[in-house]
Amino acid sequence: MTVHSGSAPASAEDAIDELYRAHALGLVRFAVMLTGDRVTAEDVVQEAFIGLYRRWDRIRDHASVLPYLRTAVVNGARSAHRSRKRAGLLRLPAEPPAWSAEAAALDGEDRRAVHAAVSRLPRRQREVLALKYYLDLAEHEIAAILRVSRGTVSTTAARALASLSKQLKEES
Amino acid sequence: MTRIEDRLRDYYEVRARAVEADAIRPSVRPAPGRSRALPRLRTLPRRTLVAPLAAAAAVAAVSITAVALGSANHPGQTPPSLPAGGKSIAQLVSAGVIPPRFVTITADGGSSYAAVRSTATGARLATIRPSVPHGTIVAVTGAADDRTFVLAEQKLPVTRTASLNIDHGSFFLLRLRSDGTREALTELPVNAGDGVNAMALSADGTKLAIASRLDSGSAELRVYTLATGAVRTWSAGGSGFVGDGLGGPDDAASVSWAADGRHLLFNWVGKTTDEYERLLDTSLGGSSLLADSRLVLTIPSPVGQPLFCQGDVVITPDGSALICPGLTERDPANSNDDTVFFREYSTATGKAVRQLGAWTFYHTDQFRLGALWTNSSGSVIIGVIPTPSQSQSGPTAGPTPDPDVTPSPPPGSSPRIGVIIGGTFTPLGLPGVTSGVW
Repeated sequence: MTVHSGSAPASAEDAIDELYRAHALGLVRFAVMLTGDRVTAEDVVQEAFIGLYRRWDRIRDHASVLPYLRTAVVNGARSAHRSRKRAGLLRLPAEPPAWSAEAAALDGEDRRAVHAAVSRLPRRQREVLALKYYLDLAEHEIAAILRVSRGTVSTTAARALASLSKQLKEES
Repeated sequence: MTRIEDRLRDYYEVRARAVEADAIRPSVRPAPGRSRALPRLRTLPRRTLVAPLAAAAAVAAVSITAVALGSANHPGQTPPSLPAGGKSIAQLVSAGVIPPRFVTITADGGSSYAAVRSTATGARLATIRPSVPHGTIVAVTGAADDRTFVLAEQKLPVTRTASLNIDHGSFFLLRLRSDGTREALTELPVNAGDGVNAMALSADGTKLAIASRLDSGSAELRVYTLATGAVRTWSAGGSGFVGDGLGGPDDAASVSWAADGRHLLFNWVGKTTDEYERLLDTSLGGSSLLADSRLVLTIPSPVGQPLFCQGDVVITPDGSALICPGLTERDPANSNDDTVFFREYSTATGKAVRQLGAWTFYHTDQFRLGALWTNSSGSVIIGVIPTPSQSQSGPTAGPTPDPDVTPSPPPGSSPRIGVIIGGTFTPLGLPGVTSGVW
């Protein structure tokens, strides 16, 4: 994502609106991977953009806003999950509701098995997997978003894959 | 590329495609002059123990007239007849076993208001509306005298967002008369700034603890002496934070006072989102939130194991124990029921002391659970649980086995507030009321 200086929108609002049009869908999809449901995912993304409004004047490099938004989505998903948890909404849904578009998309036993296995992973591992295999980010980019070391990313990903392999092998 | 990686990519791709572009909500901008998120409705449970109200009345009145407060009685709700420890709810109130009134927050279109209600009957004794047309009463916390509360107001409408914070909030001290009607409403000299995510009023009503998450990523816990406006701050860097206590109408008390007005329990979410209960002695020196507090309990969430200290957690007034609700999830192959339970943990050792009761409910992904109030010994609790099925198990001393209950299948898990005595849950009989600050 880049806001080109030569065609910069007239205001921060316009610039952020442009960013929203360009990235909201991708960020909501990413947030769905973290939160487990679309409504919360949209909330999290809205919140990330509201935060962006707030910080816009303090962001030096507006071309690097997308990593900021991804970090905000990760943090927002954590907060939403935690809030749900403390409010008693303890689980990521093991499966989307039967009537949902997501459920319709998860056709086939294999995808459902992967979904269930991913849902059982610790949050950090789910985050790393989504960043790596959904957003196709490099380890140093994931490390920057999660604010952990590159080694932590590597280790976490390896553990997550090992856990998934074990779970899916057991279930198959 | 391994096979598992291929399967992952396929799964993510298919799942992402299910979110269609034309269904994404339009962008939302902050209200003019307010650049921060719009909160959900929130309440905070209060701490307990009757203690004298002291200097709170000395707080400078800034805006008594800013918040309209009316009285309205709605006696249509009848007191429940089910016994709790051999007594009805009304008898428990009359005997002083449980507090006679509580404050709850109700959404009202884009706004919200607070209502003082009778514990015995549910009758509304007073209504506190926001001071501005589109303001919202977003949180409430109470002292231990049943007559002193602090309300947090934000001059923004309630919208559905992921926000957990109060920004630019105003804090009002509410004093009630013995009949539950308003005696005084004063704006407190508390400038808590942005990012407030938990608050708790001390038992004597003289101190207000406020937790915040700062833009810098650090966390702060501040204690305001209401009579003087003096404030002490404890802070922690890194990405940890004091647990969000403001995420919903039944959300957690992440900060709570023991009755001595010194010891402050707070829920800490670490860098890896692991959770801990920590105890801070505010009478001692220091300003480090972690170095100057003591770890009481680590809250693990291992897959397949019972989850404890979920939902609202309360500290007993003497500071000796935590009352923690927990959950044992069903084995999907054998049961449709989950089990909620309440356990008492020692603040000295972090060990479970006893189980206070357990109830099954038909499995659902959404339910409410929390300890909202406890008496000094932990023998009487006001809590919120999903509508239980008929089987219950009572308290057990010593080691805490997994709840041993008989699953039963009636569906439905609407939250109910009730009194727990001797392992028996007695609903308060307040239709539509699913949260409250006693």
